[in-house]
Amino acid sequence: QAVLNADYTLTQFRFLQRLLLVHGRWSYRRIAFFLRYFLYKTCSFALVHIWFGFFNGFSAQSLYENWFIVLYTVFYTATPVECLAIFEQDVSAQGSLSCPELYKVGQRQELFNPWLLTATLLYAIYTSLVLFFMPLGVFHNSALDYQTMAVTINMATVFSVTIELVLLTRHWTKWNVVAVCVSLSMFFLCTLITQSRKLFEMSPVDYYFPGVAQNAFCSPVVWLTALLTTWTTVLPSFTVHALNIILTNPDKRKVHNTNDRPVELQRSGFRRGASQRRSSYAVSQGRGIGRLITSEGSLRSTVPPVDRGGTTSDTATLGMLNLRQRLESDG
Amino acid sequence: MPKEQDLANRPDNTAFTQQRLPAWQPILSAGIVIPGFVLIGLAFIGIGVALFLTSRSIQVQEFDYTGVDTTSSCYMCSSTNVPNCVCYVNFTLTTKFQGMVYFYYALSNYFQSHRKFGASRDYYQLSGDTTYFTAPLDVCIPFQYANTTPIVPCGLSANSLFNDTFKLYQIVNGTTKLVPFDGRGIAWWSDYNIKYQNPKVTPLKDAFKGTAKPVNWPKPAYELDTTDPSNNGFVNQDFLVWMRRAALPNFWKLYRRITDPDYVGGLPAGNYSIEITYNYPVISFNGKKRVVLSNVSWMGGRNPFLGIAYLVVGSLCIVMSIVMLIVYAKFKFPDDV
Repeated sequence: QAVLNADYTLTQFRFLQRLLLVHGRWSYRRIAFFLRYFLYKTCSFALVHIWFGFFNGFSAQSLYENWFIVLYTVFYTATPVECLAIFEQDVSAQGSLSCPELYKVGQRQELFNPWLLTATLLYAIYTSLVLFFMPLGVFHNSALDYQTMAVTINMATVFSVTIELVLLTRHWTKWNVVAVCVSLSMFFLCTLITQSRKLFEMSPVDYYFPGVAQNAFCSPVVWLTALLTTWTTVLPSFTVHALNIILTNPDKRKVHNTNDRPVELQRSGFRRGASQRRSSYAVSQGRGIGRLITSEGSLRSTVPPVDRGGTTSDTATLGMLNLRQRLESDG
Repeated sequence: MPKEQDLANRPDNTAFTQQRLPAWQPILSAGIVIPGFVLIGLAFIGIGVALFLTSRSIQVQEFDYTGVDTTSSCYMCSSTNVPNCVCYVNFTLTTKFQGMVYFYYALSNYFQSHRKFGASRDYYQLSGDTTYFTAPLDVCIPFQYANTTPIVPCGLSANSLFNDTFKLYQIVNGTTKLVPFDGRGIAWWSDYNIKYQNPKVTPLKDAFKGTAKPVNWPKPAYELDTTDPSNNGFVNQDFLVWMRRAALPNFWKLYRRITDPDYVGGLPAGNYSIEITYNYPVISFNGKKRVVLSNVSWMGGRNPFLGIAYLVVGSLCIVMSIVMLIVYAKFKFPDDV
């Protein structure tokens, strides 16, 4: 009866180690990323309507066709993030087992806390601002119409959130790749279908955007606007990501005794949140252990450990580092 | 626990269920990231330059004819309620206006993007379904019935059809010469062929028996263009252009093109006069009306914003890559700081 009521059931105590250190840790990471990404993608595509309100007399006019709103969460953006939630691993199973200190990331709430959620929300607000005001600048005082603007913003939104997910995913299985490709092609396919002649003739009231996609996808202005908007929305993420990569270069062999901490990004608001959202760069904690252990990417190489004494020059740090290097080279 | 049950409950040992799927973990380094930023920045700057130059090469002439100013030529028309009042806007071209020239009318502070504006139309009527001619949809209220007669086409979108007309004259040696306009193909192909259909009744007038024209229209729908049956009724090009809703409060709508053999290469330099039949009232809501002459390129009309935005974002990328390079250098050689 206890088995039937419990969330997790173990038959032997030795399974507990694997459950906790491997799957528990992965689950925490996956769920944290999943929830933050969901918040981001939904808010960014919905908040556009607030800004559009200023330009339509606050009449609650939707900027998107109804079918886009329906299919956005279902077809266009769901499967890639589900693959993230199922497959994402930052460290391999053996690595997680041999370095149990990594579990503390979850205990310290480094991947999911009110600050990170606020940062994600702010980033979503920034994205929605760019998603609306860039096309606004292009479509203002022009002969282009409302439905073309809707399709342009649709395209930009789907591209932006997909690229954001591509940045977030570090563990690429073939299913991740398939999910991303299929979602993008579903966007184009479904848009063309819901805006096709046949469906409009069947029900003019339900499919009220006939011919728009066919017109818009052939227009260079629409593509250029969508491209520019997409790049501008993901620019902060890209920058933070790039800075993290640059600043955790393993080729450095010099000992840092200086008091500046180049790995910490003491930058403002959403950017720091964005970096934390990417992976567990515990930069806000400012502690050597968390940062060094959980930073990844370039640490998978077999370069001898970098001695980053910093201010915490105790042997425990070095011990952790060696441990980390070992597990990375195993993994 | 019995061994058999243990083995029966054992989960599958496949790569998928045991999370052992082969995967790729990208390893990026500064050597990839910084040049990547530079490349993207350069690409954007390149596109921006191309767009900006294209936009600069497009010629545009805009003339406001709302008639708010007492010195404006259309002031008389705006201040009286005389229907079909005529006013003139004269202008001079110093250089040849390269063709093909497109003639637009532009409105400001006009909210076609308002939800009620777009919702207030009957899609069934406009698809030629005559069952809705006797009972228009309720979304058209208050433009649904005129006294008890159903209005066709009902709704605010149709009722507010723009009804100013324009003629362009070239003044050559003291004589005025009409520049012919071409009104074919100004609306979308899909609008003309798919979205809007006339009722399949000939003559068209018979389909509209027992219905009323929209309140603010001078003529009913089947008389929108009596000279050309393919431009009459719901598929009238001006009507289609009007019904294609604009996104923002300031917009242009295509009125005509100049395709006459004398002027297809462009408008030669000289004096011109636009004769405007001023019907459409906009002053009550601080709207403005303008007449625009423009030529188009592969990117449509003039749009400096796109070119400038690309240049700005491209430069931002280059600047950021330089900053990252500096940060990387300082990080790599901290003793040299």
